[in-house]
Amino acid sequence: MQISNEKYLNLGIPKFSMTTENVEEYLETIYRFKEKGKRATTTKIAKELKVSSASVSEMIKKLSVKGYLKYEPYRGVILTKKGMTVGKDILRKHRIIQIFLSSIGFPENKVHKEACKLEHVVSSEMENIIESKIEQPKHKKGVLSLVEFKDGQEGIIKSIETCSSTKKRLEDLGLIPETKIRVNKSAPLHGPIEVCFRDSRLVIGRGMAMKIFVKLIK
Amino acid sequence: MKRIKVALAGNANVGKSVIFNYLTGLHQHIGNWPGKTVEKAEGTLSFQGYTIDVIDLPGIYSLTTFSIEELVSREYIATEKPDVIINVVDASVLERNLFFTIQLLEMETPMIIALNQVDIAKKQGEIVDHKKLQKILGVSVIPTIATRGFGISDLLKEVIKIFERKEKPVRLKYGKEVEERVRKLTNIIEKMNLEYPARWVAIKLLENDKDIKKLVKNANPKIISIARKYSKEIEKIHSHSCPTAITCERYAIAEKLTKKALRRIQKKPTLNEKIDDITTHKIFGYVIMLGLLLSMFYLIFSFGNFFSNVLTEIFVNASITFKEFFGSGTISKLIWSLIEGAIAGITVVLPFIIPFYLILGILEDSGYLSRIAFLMDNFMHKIGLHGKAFIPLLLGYGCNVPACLGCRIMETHRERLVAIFVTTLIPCAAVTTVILGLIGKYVGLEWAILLYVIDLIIVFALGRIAFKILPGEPTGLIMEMNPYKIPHLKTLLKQTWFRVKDFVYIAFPLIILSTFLIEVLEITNLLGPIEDLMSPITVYWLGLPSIAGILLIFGVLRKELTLVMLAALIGTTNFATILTPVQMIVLSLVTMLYIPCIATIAALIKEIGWKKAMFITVFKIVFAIFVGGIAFRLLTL
Repeated sequence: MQISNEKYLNLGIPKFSMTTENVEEYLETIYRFKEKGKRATTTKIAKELKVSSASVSEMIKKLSVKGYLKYEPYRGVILTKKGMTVGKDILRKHRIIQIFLSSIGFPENKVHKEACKLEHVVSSEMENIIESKIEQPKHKKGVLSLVEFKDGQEGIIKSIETCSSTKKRLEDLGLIPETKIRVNKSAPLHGPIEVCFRDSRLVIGRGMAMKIFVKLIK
Repeated sequence: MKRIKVALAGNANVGKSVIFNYLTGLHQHIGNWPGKTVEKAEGTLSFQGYTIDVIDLPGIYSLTTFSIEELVSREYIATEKPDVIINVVDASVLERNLFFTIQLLEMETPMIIALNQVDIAKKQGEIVDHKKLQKILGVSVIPTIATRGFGISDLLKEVIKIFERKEKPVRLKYGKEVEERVRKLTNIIEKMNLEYPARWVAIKLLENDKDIKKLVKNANPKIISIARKYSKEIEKIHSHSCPTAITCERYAIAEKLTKKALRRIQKKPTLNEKIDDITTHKIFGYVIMLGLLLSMFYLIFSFGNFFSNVLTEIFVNASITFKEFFGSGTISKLIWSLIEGAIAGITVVLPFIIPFYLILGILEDSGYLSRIAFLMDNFMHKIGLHGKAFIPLLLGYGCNVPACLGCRIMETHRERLVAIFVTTLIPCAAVTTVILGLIGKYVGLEWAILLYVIDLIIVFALGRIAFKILPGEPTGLIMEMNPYKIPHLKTLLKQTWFRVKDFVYIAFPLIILSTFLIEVLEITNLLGPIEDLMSPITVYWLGLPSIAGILLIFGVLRKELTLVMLAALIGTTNFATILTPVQMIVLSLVTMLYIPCIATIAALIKEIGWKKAMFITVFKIVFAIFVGGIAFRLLTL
């Protein structure tokens, strides 16, 4: 499966350079895999970034020396806490910029490519301002997708972004905006997630849970 | 005598069918809704001089068009116009159940509420004040504990009362902005004289319901644009899409009702919750599941085999008596083949199907099926299905027939179809007999295992392809996790009885007819010519002796017959005298993959209709021949 519709275009990344831009791009890609609950292998990363597997292996070695990630045979690339923070932040930035670009009428087919470039140069001050101007709640700080919740954490539902029939079904079951929800447990091996809300317990497949955005309350 | 038409409606798992069984006893009929694979249960009872016809609508959460069940239910309520609806409400999940109640009220049919499972709610620390609920809702609320028959006669008395008064329920009001627009739209629609209540149509239009939109568009396209204007306005006020806003409105009402009628008390973690934690544990959960499934497997097949053998013995004696009495002339043979068909059904199918239905019912009603789906969801996604499909797939290794029927637990048509298709690819116990009897014995166990591995790969690959090419949106797992329950025995037994009966009606004629046909072929000496006719495929393409044609024909009846017939035709059970190891592998492979046996075809027809059943059958024949031929060429390289 391709990584959503934000498929990577050839960005002309210099092959092994350790520029901030390049590091960020890699960590972002790997974070996307994590978000989907999929293994990040060298081949898959290479395919996403449109570079050769050899370059990816080379880069992974370098990133692992820097403490961003670990490579484990059979499990693929695993981000360290440090790598995770960078990857998550940059992906958030990417999405915010994307929405911003779309909102000002930037051609839809070029939005992704442009966001890929901008995400490395936009300051956090700029990011905050853009964020406060855009409406989609899912990219606001403290709003996570349901899969990012740990067992036992609670939150308030902000938005559901699945296809409309699934959304309707989830809403009918009571998952509407501003509903308090708790993650009871998630099945092992990236399985589905059990949530509790309005006195009822529901199991939701992981793919669907990824598209449910919830504001974490401590 | 007066007749009252009553419909039971409510969420899944609220004890609807238990109430239905209490009401109707054995006077019920379970079939399908016309043209749909949705179970339709109807029954009749007499009470205080009234004849009451009860229909059990499918368990649903809403009245949209998400599933076939929802469509069937709302069509029934709107067009058949039951006199009274009994809305069964689960007191332990009050808010979500009331959400559905509100939608039922919108259909403007006289209605009462059976507040069920009040005992479970109490255990969870929730006490519902039914009188208060009744007062605010303006609908009679009768507390019930269906599993103990508590409250059932009160329910019937209330039905009669409501029927005599013919009173329609009060209208619940939405928030000001939405209500205003709903009312305006209702006023316009009222003039159209539709089959459905005007207010309901108005709400559905704002919910962007495609069926209702089509209906209104045909009558008066102007209304659609008015509705669109109102939705836009509501969207602006609520900052959500209009359908979401309507859902929020309904939940706001349900929340308010719940707050007023429900009192919470402190409670300790129950044993139920502890069992739940253990059975979904990341290690113990799987261990327990494996243990339970294996013992269930063992139970079904040891029970099945035992009874199958006992019955076979009885019928063997009967056959001898029959032949002594009628001789072995042509007519006698033909008559006997008819009887033999019925016997095959009784001895081969029933001993496995009955325990299967019972055990599946227990797993389903107790709530354990949901736990299995929870644990196996990720794994099943790899073949394009979700967690619930694991059970039928596993059962396929025993017998494909109950496995196909078990695919009913999948919600959407699409999922059911993929699950059924994959299930028919699983080698059943009879195929195992062939594989072990031929390959395990004469070629080597490692080859037998290899065959299973190949089959798994095929299941995986074809499952994915079917998943990809079938139209429609794949749905992920959305499943309620109910607390564990002790299944209600009477309901379980009745359900099993009606389902078995239903199956017999479809499968037996097919089994009997095909046994008869093969007997005719044998008597008229047509088997030889057919063998020759099939030889381009069997001899040239598959590299098998020409006798294989007959074997494969008989295998349609029961897969193990390929082996039994082979022994009968060559007069020995030493198969190495006629087949080379390569031929054994090819023959087993083809037997494993080709046409589902006749009983499975019957199950397919029952579940997915003639057309799709035939498609799967033909596909499998072609596919098996293709794979067999490739295997033959690879092995003789």
